[in-house]
Amino acid sequence: MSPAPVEDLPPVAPALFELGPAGTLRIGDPATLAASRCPDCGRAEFPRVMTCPACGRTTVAIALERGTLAGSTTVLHAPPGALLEVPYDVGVVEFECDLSVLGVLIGIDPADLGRSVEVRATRVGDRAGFAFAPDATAAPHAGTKDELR
Amino acid sequence: MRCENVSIAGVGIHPFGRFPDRSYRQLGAEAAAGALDDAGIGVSDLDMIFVANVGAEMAKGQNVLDLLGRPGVPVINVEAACASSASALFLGAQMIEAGAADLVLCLGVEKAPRGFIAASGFDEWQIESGLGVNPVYFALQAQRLLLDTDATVDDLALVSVKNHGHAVHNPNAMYRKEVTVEEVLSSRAVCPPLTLLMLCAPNEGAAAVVLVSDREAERRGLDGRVQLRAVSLVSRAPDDWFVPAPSFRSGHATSLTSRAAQAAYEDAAVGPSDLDLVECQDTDAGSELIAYRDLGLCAAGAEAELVRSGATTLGGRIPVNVSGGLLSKGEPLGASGLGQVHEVVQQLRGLRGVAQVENARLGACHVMGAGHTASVAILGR
Repeated sequence: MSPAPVEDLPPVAPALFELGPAGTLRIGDPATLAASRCPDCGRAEFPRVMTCPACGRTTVAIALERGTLAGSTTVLHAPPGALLEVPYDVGVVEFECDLSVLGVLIGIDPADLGRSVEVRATRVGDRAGFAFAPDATAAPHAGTKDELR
Repeated sequence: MRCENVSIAGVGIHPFGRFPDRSYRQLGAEAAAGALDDAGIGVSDLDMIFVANVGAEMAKGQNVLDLLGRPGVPVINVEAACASSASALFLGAQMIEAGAADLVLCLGVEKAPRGFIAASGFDEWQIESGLGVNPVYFALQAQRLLLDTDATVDDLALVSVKNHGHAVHNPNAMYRKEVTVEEVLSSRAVCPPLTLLMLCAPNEGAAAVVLVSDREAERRGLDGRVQLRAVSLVSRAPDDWFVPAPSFRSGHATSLTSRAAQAAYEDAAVGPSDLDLVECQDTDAGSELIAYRDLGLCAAGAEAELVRSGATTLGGRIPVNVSGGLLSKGEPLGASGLGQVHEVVQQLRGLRGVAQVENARLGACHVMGAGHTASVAILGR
């Protein structure tokens, strides 16, 4: 079996990512989300904002790479405008900066709440978006933390 | 906003459902005419008109009014997703409190297509990435409730069973058939844990109220009016999370509903235990349970027990969504809030027949809309 072709695609929205000089993302590779944090009150925001919505201070840039799956559901009926096929899972991932971000889950059992995940570039039409996938750096996953769903 | 000088002179409604042969203008005109008739006034008596709608054409209110007469007074269109008609109510009440108007028509009207609501303020990248899906937000909130409390999927189903049971007695509701827990659970899964019968259907309808100042009511000899005691309207604070925000502050999320409720209770000088009935934003079954807590009807963690105990069923301690709620009426976005007001006014007037809440004296209406808007209105007699 031949390896999948390497695909470097422009992002669905450049502001979502920390991008290299080429301005593209390699599908399937780890990716970094471009978030921000208020130096004063500590609130984090994704997508990145220039000023803190709580205290008005100028924010600093932070990067989101891996977090913990805190919630999940499944989309079973095609929503208008979505460039992926149903069914697909959507999760809430908590990052260490106290920020939770919604994203599509790839290769993750949505019932595995509490597991470690990483951000990866994924194909969205003819561009690159992000999804949450198993954390390649984490210890082997212990199993389902919660039976809900 | 505290209201010391505003009462309801009349209410009108066009049933909620699907009406392929009627334009949104006709739906709106019928509800408005009903409210004017109920108030015993003509369109030329109005000082000002606020028209709530999400999806129709430009100059929507003006075009609806053209079917009713040409009063020549200000017609102002209002949009705030599911909180549109509550926003119209807020504006109308403000105008009367300020002394700028004595008779105000607030009208909500919608003719929404079937299925997912397509434009909820999501960015293009969210939509393309499969994240622009309202039921995902409701499902995640419901799952969180199931994880954090003793609530189960059966309790979610129970909310739907209760509201459908109420709707049997509401001629203005779209679905008027009782359903069982088993039927709710076995209906098509949409976004687990939510099934089709745990979600409201966007549909068509209209509702209207005529607000009157005390001085005008005295002039006209209108007695026994329902008073609008308070109406609050809040937008997003730093830690609120709702459709269409792509992220939120972990573990610190605040509640738009709690803030709206707190403000309305304070302004009306009442507490949740004083209420005789509540109409709340049951976009999905989980949202109703969360509203119990955020409106102060129960403590955090006691949401499921409240519905299980029968307290929120007609005949219980604090009936919720006696109209059938959005789960049974369907949700014409721009009209849903004033539809709630219609129900509460009819209850406070004692006109609801077999669905009458005994000795109802104080009621609340609650909506929450995409883009982070919530409102609570308190009505009493």
